[in-house]
Amino acid sequence: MSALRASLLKAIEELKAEVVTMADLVLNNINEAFLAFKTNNLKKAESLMKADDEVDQLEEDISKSALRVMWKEQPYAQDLRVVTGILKLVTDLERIGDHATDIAEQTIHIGSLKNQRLLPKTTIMSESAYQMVLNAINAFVKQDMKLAKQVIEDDDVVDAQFNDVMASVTEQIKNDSIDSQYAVSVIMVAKYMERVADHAVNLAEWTIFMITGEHKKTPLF
Amino acid sequence: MAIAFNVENLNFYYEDKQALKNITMQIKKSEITAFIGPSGCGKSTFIRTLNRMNDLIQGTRVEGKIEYEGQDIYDKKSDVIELRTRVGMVFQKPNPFPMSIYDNIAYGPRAHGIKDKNTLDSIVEDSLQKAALWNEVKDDLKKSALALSGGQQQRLCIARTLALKPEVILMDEPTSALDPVGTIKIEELILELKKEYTIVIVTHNMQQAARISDKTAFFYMGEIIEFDETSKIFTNPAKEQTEDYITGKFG
Repeated sequence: MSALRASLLKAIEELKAEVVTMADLVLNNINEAFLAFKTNNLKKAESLMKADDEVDQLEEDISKSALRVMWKEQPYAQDLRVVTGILKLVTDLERIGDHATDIAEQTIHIGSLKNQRLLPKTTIMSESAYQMVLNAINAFVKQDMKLAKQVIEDDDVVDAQFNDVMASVTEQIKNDSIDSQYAVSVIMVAKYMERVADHAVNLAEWTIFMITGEHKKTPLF
Repeated sequence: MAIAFNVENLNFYYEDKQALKNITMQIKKSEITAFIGPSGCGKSTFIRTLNRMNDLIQGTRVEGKIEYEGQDIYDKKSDVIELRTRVGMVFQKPNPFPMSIYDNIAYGPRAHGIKDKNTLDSIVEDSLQKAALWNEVKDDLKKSALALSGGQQQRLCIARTLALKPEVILMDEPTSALDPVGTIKIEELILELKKEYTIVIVTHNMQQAARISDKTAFFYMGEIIEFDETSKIFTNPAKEQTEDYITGKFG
C-alpha cells in the first residue's frame, strides 16, 4: 500500500484511538458505579458524579474530529463507514456514561435510607451488562463481527435478568419486606443497567455497520 | 429503464497494445454514468468508442460489439456522421472555434444544411439557454467565443453539441481545465441536462462522480473492475481494487 492518502489513514487511526480513550473511561465509570452500588460506597458514588464531564467532553472532541476528517479527507467506502459509524457510536458511549452517573446518584440516595438490603440479582445483572459493554468495545477495536453479534444476542440474557429483578422486588413489596423508597431505587438502577446493555447492543450494531454497510440488516446507503 | 448502449466483449487495440479488455456493460438512457480510474486505465478510450471517435486514430482496432439503440455502431452500414450527431461529445479542454459565439453554435446546424436565419436564431438561443449561458452572452452573440472565460467556453462547447440535437452527450473530463466556480456551473448544467439527455462522463474527480452520477464504472488496466450504482461504489464497493482506488490506497 502506498502512502497516497497517508493523512486520511493517520486521521482515522487517531480517531479510533480517541474512541478507545473514551471507551476506557466509560468502562471504568460503569464498573465503579456498579461497584459503588453493590458495596454501598457513597464516597465512590460521589466521585463519579463529576466523572461524567470528562466523558461529555470526549464525545464532543470525537464528534469534532470525525467531522474534520469528513470535510478534510472526504473518506469513501470503509473509511466513510468507520468515520460515520464513530460519529453515531460516541452517542451510545456517552449515554452509558450518563447511566454510570444515574446509578451513582441512586446509590447516594439509597445511602440515606434505612433497611436497605442488596439484591444479589442486581449484581449478576451488572456483571452481564458490564461484559456486554466490554465485548462491544472489543468488537469495535478488532472490527470483530462475531463478537459484535454475540453482544446483540446477550441482550436477551440481561432483559431476562431485569425481569427477574422486577419480579423479586414486586414479591418483596407484596410481602412488605422491602422499604418502598429503596424498592423504587433498585428498580431504577436495574433499569439503568438494562439500558446500558441496550447501548452496548447499539455499539455492536454500529461496528457491524462499519464492517458491512448494513445497520440492523438494512443497507444505510 | 431503457438501454442506450449495449456493449459486449469489447476489445480495443492501439497497434499491438490492447487498451480495452473484454468490456461488457449496459448504459441506461436518461442516466448519468461516470467512468473513473487511474490515468491510462482505458476510460477515455472507452468513451471514445461510443461514438467512434477512435476511428480518427490510425492503427486502432475494435473487436466485439457496441449497440446504440439496438443498432451495431461498428457495422459497415452504420452511418458515423449520424452516430456522432446523435451521440455528441464534449472534451477536456474547451475548444471553441475562432469565430463569434453565434457562429460557433450555428456551425453544426449549417453544416447539416440549415440556412434559414430564423431557424438558426432559435437553435442558437435554445442551445445557449439549455447550456445555461444565454443570459451571460445574449447581448454579445457577435463577440468572439475566444473572449469568453474558460467556464463559459466549456458551456459554449456544450451548447454547440446541443445545437445538433443529440440524444447522448459524452463528456471526457469536462471540468478538469476549469476553476471551482466553472466546475460547479458545469455540474449543475449536467444535472439539468440529464432530464433530456443520456450522459456519460469521464472524470478524475471522485467527488464529482459521487455528486452527479447515477452509475459509476471503475476501470483499471483496460478492464471494468466494478460497475454499479454510484451510492454503492462510494460507500460499500464489492471489489477490493475499487475500495483501494476510491479510498486512495493506490492510484
